[in-house]
Amino acid sequence: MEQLLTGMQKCVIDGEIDQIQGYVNQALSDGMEPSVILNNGLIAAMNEVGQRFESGDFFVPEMLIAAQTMQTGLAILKPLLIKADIKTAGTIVLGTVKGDLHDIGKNLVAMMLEGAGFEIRDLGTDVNSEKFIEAVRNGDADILGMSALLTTTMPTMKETIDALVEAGLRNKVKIMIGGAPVTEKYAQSIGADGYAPDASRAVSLAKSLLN
Amino acid sequence: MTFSFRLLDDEQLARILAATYRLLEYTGIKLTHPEARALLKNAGARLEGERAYIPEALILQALNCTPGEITIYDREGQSAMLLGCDNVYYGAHTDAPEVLDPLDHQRRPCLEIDVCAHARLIQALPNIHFLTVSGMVADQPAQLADQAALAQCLQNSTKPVLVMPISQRSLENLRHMSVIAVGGEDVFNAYPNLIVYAEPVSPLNHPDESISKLLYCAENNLPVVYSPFAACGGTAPMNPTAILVQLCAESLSGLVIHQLRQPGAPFIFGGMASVMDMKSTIFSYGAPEFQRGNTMMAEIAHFLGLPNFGTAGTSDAQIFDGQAMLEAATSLIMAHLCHADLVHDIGLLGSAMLLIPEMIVVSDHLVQMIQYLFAEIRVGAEDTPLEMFASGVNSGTYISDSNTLSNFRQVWYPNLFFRLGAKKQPSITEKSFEERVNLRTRQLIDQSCACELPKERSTGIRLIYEQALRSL
Ligand code: B12
Repeated sequence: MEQLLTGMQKCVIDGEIDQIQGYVNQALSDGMEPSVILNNGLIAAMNEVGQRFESGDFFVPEMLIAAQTMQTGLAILKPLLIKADIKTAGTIVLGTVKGDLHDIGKNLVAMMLEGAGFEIRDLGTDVNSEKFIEAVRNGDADILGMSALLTTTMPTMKETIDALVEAGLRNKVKIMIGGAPVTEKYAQSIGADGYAPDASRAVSLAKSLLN
Repeated sequence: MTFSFRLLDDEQLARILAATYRLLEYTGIKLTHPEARALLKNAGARLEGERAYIPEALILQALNCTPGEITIYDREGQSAMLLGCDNVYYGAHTDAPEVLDPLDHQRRPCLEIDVCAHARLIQALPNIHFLTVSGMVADQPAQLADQAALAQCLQNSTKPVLVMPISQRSLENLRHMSVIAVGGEDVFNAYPNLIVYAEPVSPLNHPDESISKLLYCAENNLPVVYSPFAACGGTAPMNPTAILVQLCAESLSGLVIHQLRQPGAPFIFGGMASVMDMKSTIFSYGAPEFQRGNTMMAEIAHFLGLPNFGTAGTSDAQIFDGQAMLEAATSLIMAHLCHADLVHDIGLLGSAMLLIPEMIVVSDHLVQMIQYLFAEIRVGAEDTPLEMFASGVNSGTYISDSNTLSNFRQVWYPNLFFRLGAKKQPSITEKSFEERVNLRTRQLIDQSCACELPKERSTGIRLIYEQALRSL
């Protein structure tokens, strides 16, 4: 059992996307609980990947292929987890705000969050507050994440939060924001729940917001 | 003999362009702007969904009617820059999200008074030829930051300005301000002191706002830079040649639309070819790949016969240090070697977030040094007559030679580098190079004064701004 998990972890860390389903299926047929496979196999591996990235051993493309490998393994587990009523890490609605077309940072954040087991609804770029609100109203989002890289588009974040309050939806979600000109202070001033300066800290932030 | 330097030979250049035409014809560009789509369609391009596919013939037709040379004037109507003529002109930023304050070395948001100080600083530096306004002034409304900054530039410097307008609406006011500064529509149309910057969004996307700016410039015969910024692995393929092809396709498809709107309107080609740093995720402004990429883009511009938009004097450093200076120095050398034409971004560091005024002063100094490094060398009979050696051989020195007396001033005397002998250590030598540059920067800012505009012009500019403020 231990050996299988170690193999699975190595498979994620090395980004061997073609082999991961083999490991997961093997574990399932050996009778391993889906939640154990998820936590002790896939997520444990991604934690290791995160650490290697932080320490400078891993580069972004290596981290992303590991995250995709993790997702590919998770695809098999998902129906089982739902059946067993085991929740994913959470659902996050993400978008770059209206007037802003910068999306590299937001995409990276999305991929890293997915790698950490979150479900992502990516609304893309140039997203106005109505679209954000609609996504919160009609979905099961736990977190709303907004990205802005322009001083001129940052106010849309505040507008969206204000509009959520008005629509009585503010308590339904946690809100996190980011982007080069955004600061912790700005996040506080507009009533967001959190700010992260980069993708790996966005993951820790998302986890801490839902705890 | 003039010194020549190339990274790409003619055959490689031709192959890059052939690949560019193929990309535009078969992959196409994303374009939603209705007027631009209509222009392309009528000219014979194929439209499908949000894509437009541009045949080579249209590109060649556009290239045929684009002027190869553009003259830009200063505020006083004097010719200041001849683009497209194998020259190099350097421009420094007057604003950025943050500045490193030369007084207390603190990083803080850029304010309107900083733009004023930087405009005056640039005015005082002989090797910085134009100012750049990117529209980031934290103490004015964000939607008007470009207008606030341009107003400062026009009132404190006579040098031409490159503006990055926040919107097409804002651009109308920016143009209006410049018209007033130079003394009226006719003067401005004949002697433009303004260059507009607009950009496609890599990969291969022309947002409506960018196209609106581009068309506005075409209609008004305003010189426009239409240059993307991409990074290998981020918004361009992870291949140093493919990024060039993509950038060319982006800039040239803009050119086609621009020339269809107004054949012969002034257009500046360009593209910034960076790499995404896969550790930090930044788009590098100091990498050798970036400097090489920009050099090759300039070579492509020359090959096409178009004025080029270059980049140099930048760095990924976050403070005013050795890294900042080394990265800036190598990029300035490359820009000089490839005759990069209109070279922007001097003073912009910290992956484009931070303006360091000292770096503008250092760059001015470096540009001067580089001009000496690559100055043309004359080898004529008059340079080596036997008499020239005679007095030296006879007396053992040339120090009191008349030839020395009449020519020693042609040697470059740096005002920031030290050449003091080992024994001479007056107090200033105790200061590091960084400290001396800081001192010089502060002196230049303190001593400089506004290049005043006639009162009614400055009032006119202020009125435009106040009107814009009221209609917010
Ligand atoms: C690449 C880039 C572009 C590309 C964008 C391509 C794309 N598809 O995204 C292009 C060239 C198209 C572009 C265009 C423009 N840009 Co630009 N651009 C940049 C640049 C150089 C890098 C941005 C980037 O992708 N970084 C890499 C990513 C990985 O980092 P990141 O976005 O910061 O994201 C990280 C964190 O911020 C965080 N994060 C991001 N989002 C979120 C969200 C959440 C919820 C959380 C928790 C965290 C988080 O995690 C991410 C990963 O670590 C920046 C300079 C800079 N240093 O930021 C300028 C910059 C942002 N751009 C700027 C400007 C002005 C523009 C233009 C207006 C230029 C113009 N005048 O035409 C246009 C605007 C177009 C538009 N309407 O949006 C300014 C903004 C200044 C300001 N404060 O307003 C900057 C700072 C450069 C400058 N000094 O001029 N740009």
